[in-house]
Order: sequence, then structure tokens, then C-alpha cells
Amino acid sequence: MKTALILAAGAITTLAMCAPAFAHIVLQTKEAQVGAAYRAVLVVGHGCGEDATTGVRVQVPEGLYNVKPMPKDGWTIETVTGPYDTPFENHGTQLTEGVKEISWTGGNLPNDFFDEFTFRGTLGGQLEEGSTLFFPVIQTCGSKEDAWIDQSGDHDAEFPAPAITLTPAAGHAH
Amino acid sequence: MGAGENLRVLSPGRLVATTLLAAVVALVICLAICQTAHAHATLTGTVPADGAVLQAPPDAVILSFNEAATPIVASLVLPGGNISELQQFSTSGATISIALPDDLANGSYALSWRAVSEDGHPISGTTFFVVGAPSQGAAPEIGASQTGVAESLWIARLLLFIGLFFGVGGAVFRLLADEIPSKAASASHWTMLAGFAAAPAILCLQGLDLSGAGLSAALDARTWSLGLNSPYGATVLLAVFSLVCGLAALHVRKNWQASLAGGLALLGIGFSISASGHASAADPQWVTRSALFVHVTTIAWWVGALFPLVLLLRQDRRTAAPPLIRFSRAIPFAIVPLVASGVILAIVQLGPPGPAWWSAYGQILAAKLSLLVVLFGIASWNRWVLTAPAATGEVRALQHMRRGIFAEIVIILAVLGLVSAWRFTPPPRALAVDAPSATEIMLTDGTLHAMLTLLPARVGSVDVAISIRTGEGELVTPKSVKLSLEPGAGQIAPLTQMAEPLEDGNWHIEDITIPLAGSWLTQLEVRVSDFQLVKLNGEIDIAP
Repeated sequence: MKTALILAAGAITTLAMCAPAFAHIVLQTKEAQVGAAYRAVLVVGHGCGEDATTGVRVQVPEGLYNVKPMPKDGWTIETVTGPYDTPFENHGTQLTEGVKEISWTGGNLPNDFFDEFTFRGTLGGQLEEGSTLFFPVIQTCGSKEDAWIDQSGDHDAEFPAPAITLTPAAGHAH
Repeated sequence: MGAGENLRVLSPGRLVATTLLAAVVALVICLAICQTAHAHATLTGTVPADGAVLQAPPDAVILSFNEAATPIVASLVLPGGNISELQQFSTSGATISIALPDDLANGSYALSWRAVSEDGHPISGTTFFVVGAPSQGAAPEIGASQTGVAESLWIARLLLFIGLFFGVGGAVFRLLADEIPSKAASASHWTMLAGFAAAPAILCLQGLDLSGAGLSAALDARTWSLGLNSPYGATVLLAVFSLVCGLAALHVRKNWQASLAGGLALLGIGFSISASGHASAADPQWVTRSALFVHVTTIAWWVGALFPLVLLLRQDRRTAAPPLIRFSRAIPFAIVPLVASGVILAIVQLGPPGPAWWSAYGQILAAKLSLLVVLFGIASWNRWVLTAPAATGEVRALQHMRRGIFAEIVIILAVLGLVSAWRFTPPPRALAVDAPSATEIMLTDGTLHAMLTLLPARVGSVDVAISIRTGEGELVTPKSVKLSLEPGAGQIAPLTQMAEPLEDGNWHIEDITIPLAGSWLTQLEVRVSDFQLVKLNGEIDIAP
């Protein structure tokens, strides 16, 4: 009996310690190469508190070009396009504008399940290796909203924005 | 004076009762007319913050007050010590924006400003900022009233008080006496004329004091319009009305006319003095204004009787006795509301006990109270010891009473001199806003400035006012604002609370409870747009 209690207590403590990792919206792949393609998978592991997620909106960071979302059953995808601060050279053609924002709406993701929201893009060659690229996300759950937009990098931030760290371009560091 | 044998004189009790009833009716009217809350405005913050070192010169300096304030003059002390007058102001609610000249060179600047709060009192201050690197040498101090203005204003106010209390009050005494001694009538007449002379002088000096100009600007139209448009404008106009009624009460033939004019004159005094000043501005206004009204009308009634009484006592005792008896019967009806209203005003103005009680205001009040103890001592002696024998014509009692009343007059003049000086001393309740109980802190990341005002900055329930502006001083309207407070020593978890937006674009948090004294790490999360969050950090000291 005593052992069981200790085990239970230990399990609860472990769960509590792990909780923050599950409690955030994160990108599945947290590193990406400068100048390479990047497949961004937003992992939404919970609702807003207990409430089911009904919408996800992400801001595409400057430096990620030619972005295309992957279709997703049960969700309506909309994009907002706008001009790039720095144009992108795509095999000889210059891209001056593209997708700056993607939203998935109309779905219903209960708090007890998780789901992934996927899009792809190409990271510009001008990006600085070692730097962090933030993908601020607004999660809506009916009338509630959680804004994962904190880019301060604070360890104890309540709603950190999903982010990736940029690694050196291929063939560059060798 | 023309009071005949068959004239009906109101009984003292009825006279006081009628006056008080009229005062109550008049007050209701007054309260209906007074619209906005007047208060002694206090600076709560500036942008750029006092002493800020800026990379680029600011376009404007923004002053935030706890109450609405109107700018009057501002001047900028340039790094070389030259002074540049600033003319462009804009006001929105309780903030004043003062535009600065373009192309300010690197160096230290002092912006001296003067504004008028709604109670008509000038407030002024100086804020310093540095563009680039600080320049050598201290900036000269400017501000305060010009020489001669404050002193002249004090004299003019004293004269007006004498005209109202002794002059108008003396004329009102006619309602008690069958006959006023001719010397008393002429004293009343001339003091009222002195009050007339003081009235425009007060307007002019008030204008000079508000604009901070010297006596040489006395003839400027702007000086006069400032004085007239300040709350003292109303005070002076009502005082003139009261003086006119007082003169009428003194000189009309028929008794009913004298009663009417005298009643109006008393009401005029009440309205005049409760129209401006510290007490009129204190909250709750219906209490302070009513108290002030009762206070000054009863004073006028009492004080005005003194000089005529001295002269009556010198005359034949048969003419002196009836008014003396009437006066002594009525005086308790005047003294009780007089003292009660005085106590209410003192309590409101002093605020809770603290160091502010020892301010200049508190010292004047203490001096006034000690004089009042002597005054009431003499008055009681007159009333309860001397009146009865004096009324029967006992010579020694009459003599003592004359001397006693004469001493009362001298003491009252000293009290009037003291209260005329109150104009220049903010009451403790206003000083309390300046005291460390309200603390402001500027949080900035270089592009966004947030001014937080904690009231009070001590353990317990605290209200926080938040004003967020760009470096250019423009008000920012973020989507949400969240405040986090964490004790510096880390004893407890951070307190966080969302701020509520106000109509004027600022934010506030009502009643956040701070449990510990000491240094608190302060973080403001400003959600500028959907995807942009700005975190501003600082530290604030909480008093125990």
C-alpha cells in the first residue's frame, strides 16, 4: 500500500514536471538549415484550457519563402499574402510577395486529442545561422483565445511562440 | 440710519433660521450648477521620464496629471542656459503635450511648465531630459511666483475678506439693531469700498500668479482674462455682488428692503468663497462646499456685529441693551454651525495623520486654532459673564465687554490674515498625493514607454494606472495589457493581472493585492497587435 502511494506520488510528480513540454504549441522539427526547404509541423497538444481548439492561425516569419499549407480534412485553410521585406531568388525568378499568414478554421479538436497543422517553405540564404526564427500562433477555442506570441525567449514564458533554430547551410560549414 | 420706531426687527433666532434655510436652498442651486469635479491636480508622470537620456531629441514632452489641468506657459532651458518659450500645447483629458522645437542639439534640457488645475490654483514643475550626452553646468531654476505678486495677492485677499466680513457683516447687523451707530455704518461703508477696490486687483494678481508673470504684465489683456476665467473669477464677481447688496442693506430706508439686501449679501459671501479655493476642490464636494458656505456666512454674521456692538456699548445703555441681548441670544445658533463646519473642513483638508500635517498649511491651521481658542475664550466670557450685567447697564461690565470685543476684532483680523495665506499652501490632502504613497515607474524598451502609477505603492490593495506611448509620445492602443509583479527575493510566485482599457486610451487595474514590502520585479506584457507581444521590465519599491 505504502509502496503504491510512493509510486503514485512519483508518477504524479514526473507528470507534473513533464507537463510544460506538452502544454505548449510547438514545431515538431526545431532545427532547420539556412537556404533549405523546411516542413513546418505545428503540434497542437491541447485546447485552450479544457476547451476544444476550433482555429489555428500562424504568422509566417520573414525569411521563409514560397510557403504552401498542406490540405487538412475538416478544416478550412485560408492564407494572407503580402510583400517580402527581402525578395527571394527562386531559380532565377524573383519572388517579391507570398504567404505571410495561414489560418485553419472550422474544425474541432477536443482537448483530449492532439493534431498537426502542416505547411512548407524555403528558408532564405540571407538568414543568420544560429539565430532563432519565431512562428507566432494564435489558438482559438470558440470565443476563447490563447496567443502563443511571446518571442522573449524567457524560460518561464507562459505562451512562448513556436520557434526553430537555424543551422549552417549545407556545404557551408564543411 | 433710517430705522424708525415702528420697524419690525426679526427676532435673532428667526433671523438665523431664515438665513440657514436660505443657505440650504441656495446650496442646492449651487450644487446643481457646479458640473465638474474640481481638484488640486498633481503631476503623475512625464514622457520622457524625468532625467531620461534619449538617443534622439523628442518631439514633445507629455505631462500626465491625476486630474484635468490646463497649460499656461512652458519654457525650455537650452544647454547653453538660454530660455526658449514654448507656445504649442495640446490637452487631452488629464494629459498635456508640449511641443518642442525641431533640431534640438545634444545636451541637457530643462522643461519648466506651469498649468492651472480646475480649482484655479497654479501648479508648476520642471522635468529634465538629456539628448545624447549631458552638457556641463547645472540648469538654472525657474518657476515660483514673481516677486511682489504673492504678497500683493495676500494683501488684496485680506482687504476683500475685511470688506466682506466686517463691511457686509456690519451692514447685516442692521437687521438686529434698531439703529446702527453712525460710526459703525461709515466703517461698514468704507470697508466695503475697500473690498470693491480689492476685487479687480485680485483678478489681475491671480492672472499674474497663474501665468507666472511679474507685476509689469499687470496691464496685459491675457493676465486679466486668465484671472477672470479662473475659479477666482467667480469668487470675485460674487464678492462684488455681495458688496453691492451689503451697501444697499446699509443705505436703503425701508426695513424689508434692508432684510432682503442683507440676506442676499450673506448668501453672496457664502457663494463667493465656496466658489474657489482648496476647500471647494476637496472631495466629497457637496460636503466641503456646504461646510464652507455655512462657515463663511456664519462668520460674516458674527464678525460683522462686533464693531457696531463696541460703539453701541459706548452709547446710551438703553439703545445698546436690546441689540446686545438679541445678539447674545442668537450667537450660539451661529457658533455651533460655524465650529461644526470648521471641524469638517479641517478633517477633510488635513487627511489622515502624517508628516503632511507639519506642512505650511498645517502650521497656518495650528496658528488659526490657537487664535480661535483665545477668541472663543473672550467671546464666552462676554456672553456668559458680562452680557447680563452689561444689559442692565453696569459700567464695569460694559467697559470689560468693550475691551473684550475689541480684542476679538484684533484676533479676527489676524485670523483673516492667516487664512489669506492659505491660498499659497497646498493642503495636506493634496500633498498626500505627492507623498511616496503614489509611485510611478516608467517601463521602456526604447520604442514603447509605459508609465505605471501605483496608488498607493504599499502593501495591501493597490490601483494601477497604465499609460502606454510610443517614443514620439503617441498613445498606443494595444489589444491587451498584462501586469506581472514578482517579489525581488522570490518569496512568492508572480502576481499577474490583466489591465482593463479606459475610454481615454489608458489602462488600469483596480485592486491588485500586494502582500509583501520591498522590491518587486515588474513586467508589463503589451500585446501591440495580434502577433506582436512587447514585454517591458522594471522594478518598483513597495512600502510596508
